[in-house]
Amino acid sequence: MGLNQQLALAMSILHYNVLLADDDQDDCMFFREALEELPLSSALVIVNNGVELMSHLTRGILLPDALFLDLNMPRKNGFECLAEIKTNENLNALPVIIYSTSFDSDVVNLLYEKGAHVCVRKPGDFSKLKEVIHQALDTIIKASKERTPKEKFVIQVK
Amino acid sequence: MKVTDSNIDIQFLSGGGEMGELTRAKDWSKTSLGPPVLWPQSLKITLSIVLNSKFPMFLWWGPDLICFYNDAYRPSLGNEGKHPSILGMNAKDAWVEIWDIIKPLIDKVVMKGEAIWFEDLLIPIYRNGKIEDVYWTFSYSPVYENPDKVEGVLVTCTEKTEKIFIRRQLEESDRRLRLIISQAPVSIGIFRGPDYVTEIANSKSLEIWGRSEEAILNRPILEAMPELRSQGFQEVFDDVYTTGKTFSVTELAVQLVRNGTLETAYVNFSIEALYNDRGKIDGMMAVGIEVTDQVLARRKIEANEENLNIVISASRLGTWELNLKTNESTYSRRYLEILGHNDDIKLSHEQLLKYLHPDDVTVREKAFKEAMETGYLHYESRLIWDDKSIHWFEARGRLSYDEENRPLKLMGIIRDITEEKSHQQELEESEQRFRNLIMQSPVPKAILKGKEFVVEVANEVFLKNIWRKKSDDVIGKKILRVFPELEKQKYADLLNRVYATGEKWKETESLITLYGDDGIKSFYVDFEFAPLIEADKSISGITMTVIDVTEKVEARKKIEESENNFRMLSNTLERKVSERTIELKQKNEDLEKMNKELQSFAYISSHDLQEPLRKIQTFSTRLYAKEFDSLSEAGRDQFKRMQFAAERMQTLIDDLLAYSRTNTSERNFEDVDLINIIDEVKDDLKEEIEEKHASIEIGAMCRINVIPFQFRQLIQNLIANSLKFSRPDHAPSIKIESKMEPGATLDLENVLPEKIYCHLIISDNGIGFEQQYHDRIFELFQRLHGREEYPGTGIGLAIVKKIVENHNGVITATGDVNKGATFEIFIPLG
Repeated sequence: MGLNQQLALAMSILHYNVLLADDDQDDCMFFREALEELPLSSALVIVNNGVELMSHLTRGILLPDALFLDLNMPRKNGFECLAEIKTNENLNALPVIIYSTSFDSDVVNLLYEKGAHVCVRKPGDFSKLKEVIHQALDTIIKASKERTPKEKFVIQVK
Repeated sequence: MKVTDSNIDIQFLSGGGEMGELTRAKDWSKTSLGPPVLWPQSLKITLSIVLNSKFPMFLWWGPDLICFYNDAYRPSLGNEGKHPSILGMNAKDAWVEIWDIIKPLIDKVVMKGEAIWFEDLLIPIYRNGKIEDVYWTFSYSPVYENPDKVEGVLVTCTEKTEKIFIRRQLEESDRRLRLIISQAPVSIGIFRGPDYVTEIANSKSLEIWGRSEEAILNRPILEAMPELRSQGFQEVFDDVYTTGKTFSVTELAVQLVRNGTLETAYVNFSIEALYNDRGKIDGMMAVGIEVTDQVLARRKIEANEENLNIVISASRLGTWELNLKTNESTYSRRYLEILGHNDDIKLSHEQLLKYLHPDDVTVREKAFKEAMETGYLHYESRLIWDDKSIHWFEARGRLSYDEENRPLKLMGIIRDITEEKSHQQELEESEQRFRNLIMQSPVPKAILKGKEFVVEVANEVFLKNIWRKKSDDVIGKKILRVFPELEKQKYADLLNRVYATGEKWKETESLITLYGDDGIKSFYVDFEFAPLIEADKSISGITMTVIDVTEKVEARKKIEESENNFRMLSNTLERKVSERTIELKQKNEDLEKMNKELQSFAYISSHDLQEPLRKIQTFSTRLYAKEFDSLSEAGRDQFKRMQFAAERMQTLIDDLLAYSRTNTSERNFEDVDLINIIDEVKDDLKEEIEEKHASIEIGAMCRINVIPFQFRQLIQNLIANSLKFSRPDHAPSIKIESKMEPGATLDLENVLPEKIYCHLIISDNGIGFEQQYHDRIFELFQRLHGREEYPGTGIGLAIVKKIVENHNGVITATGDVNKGATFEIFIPLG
């Protein structure tokens, strides 16, 4: 068994509890379908705005393995949620994957500063979507204990 | 015979003087007694005693109390009175005027048989034609006919009227004496006996002694006034009392306890012995007068005189007196000293006059003449001492007159005033110097004297420049009379104020109007009114300094006016500039706002447009992958075209985003080597370069201070541009080079001559463009070719231009159709 196969096996064994915060139903659907098609075991919980997200997180249940956080959300946007999570000592270990259509360099810098784990750009191609979600989840395993380097902070597929 | 009988019978009436005769002659038969022969024996005997007594006697007899009296009694009845009518009258009729008095007395004798006796009793009787007050000493005694019957009342009496009168006179004179003593203006005290008991002490003496009458009278004086003993009065009293020598003293100081305190009184008094009838001393009289006030007054005068002498000698005044009748003079020692004599010599009036300075003789004479008229002498003149030195003196005197009001003598003083004179001289000299100073001053100055402000001195420039008057019209005159117009201006008040307060007043550029000889003139002056202060700090006048500054003021006013104009002008200008600036600023702000809005529109729209586009793309890829097999050939073609269109839209949006980011993103300048940026870009575009077989030739490169990611975009866009617009049959050849050039050598708009520029040239061998479009190609969405020929959004070069401008640079494009295009970029260093 080659290394990639071993890794793939390890990943398939791993189970991901994924939390998605996005108000766009289409994107939620794409995300669910993409996640399902990925060769790994996962459970997805979706919340549709920031307020809902924070109340879900602070309910005291087991934290998810990763949070995919959309920036443009009603009631409480992604920036606010990120700041709250990173300043809450019960939550700040949660890897927050920013999940948005476009990233300005200003926005990227700000997110990095606030402690986001990585940024994922929503691609226009479904196969690419699967790829970026996979890559993002991949970074959690590889770098769970350390900060993502700045150059690998934004994940996008051409 | 009867007569004879009766004669015989009346033998007992013989003798008895006048009254005997009258009694005998009386026809008694007509009385209640009847003829004498019938008279009882007791009557006869008694009557005989009465008539023959030389002591005044009177007899009432019988029940009617018939009156008898003798010669001795007769005078008491006076003339033109009861005598002789009452002989043989009954008592009640005879003594009708005193019946009320004597009736009870008589009754007492008759009824009780008791004798009564009165001394000096006033019983007024009618005599000498009137009722007279008569004093009697008398006795009424009963005459018994038989042992138990009183038949008559015998009155023996003496008239005491005269004696009493004399006694009364004596008493009166005694009373008067006492009155005189008591009212005497001198103190009189009479002391009796060897103990000197005070018998009399008049009010004056009580006053001097400071005692009340009760404390003194009837007490030994030395006991009542014990303080006298210690002052030798015991001895004095004893001496007078034993020797009879009068003691007399003046201005004796006596210590007396008056009103409880010991006081010193000065008295003049004498003590004389008083003798009794037998020529023996039985008392003393002290007569005195208090002279305390006089003594004190005199002492005060003496003290004053002494003080005056002290003052005169201390004041170094010489005193003198000249008798005008005898021309004799007397003078004090100091007088001689002033004349230069230290020895006490006697000089006659003529000798004294020789000391007078010959030039001053007339001064003295004039003063003496005046003194004869006014009574007062006063003059100052010089003396020549024996040592020939000259001294000044002042003489003052007063004339006194005799009873006929003729001048009698002159009395007075002289005073050495040599020193004062020299002071005065100095003062006069300094005053003269002060005047000269003013007169010679080039600045107009004048002195006003007194509160009337009389012009004392004014220099030439003052007269000529300020007042414009002749000296004679001003000097010695009141300034407010000469220039009444000053009253209406502030200057009169200011003069008064300076004179009153002694504080200097200074003003500059003050307008004044004066009527000079050449007419009215108003001009500006700087002036100062300073008080003229004397040595005794009093203010005697005002020194004025007045300078005409009209020319200066007018010149300044002109300057001020033009300055003002200038200021107004510049203010207007400034205001306009500021208005314009504000307008401009407003417009700039508007523009910026619009720009921002535009940018934010571009950003937001491109950003928001991305989402639906992305979804379209996602759905289409998903659909294409899943439904590929069920699509027809034509359907697949159309599907592809749709995906293509979506892709182009994505490019457009990406480009727009890139363009708007050149405005919004941060501008971090870094010093970079262009070669690195070009290498990165070459790496990015590797696929296209290889695909087109393009060659990129890179020349010299500058280091440059730029925003790295923007500059990378710039290079990328230009290289991509060259690759895109290559000629189909020609492999693209791109040249990139750069050089430093000073701005001054560059003939371009918006290039600063003082800056050094990095001149970057990118040229290709592509299709080029017509030169007329060299500006247009940089505009947004401007395209020179159809999309089928050359795809693109028309944004790339607009981004390039924007980035160049972000670096304060300039970009130019030169095109040659089907030969190539050259882009030149000028970026300032630093």
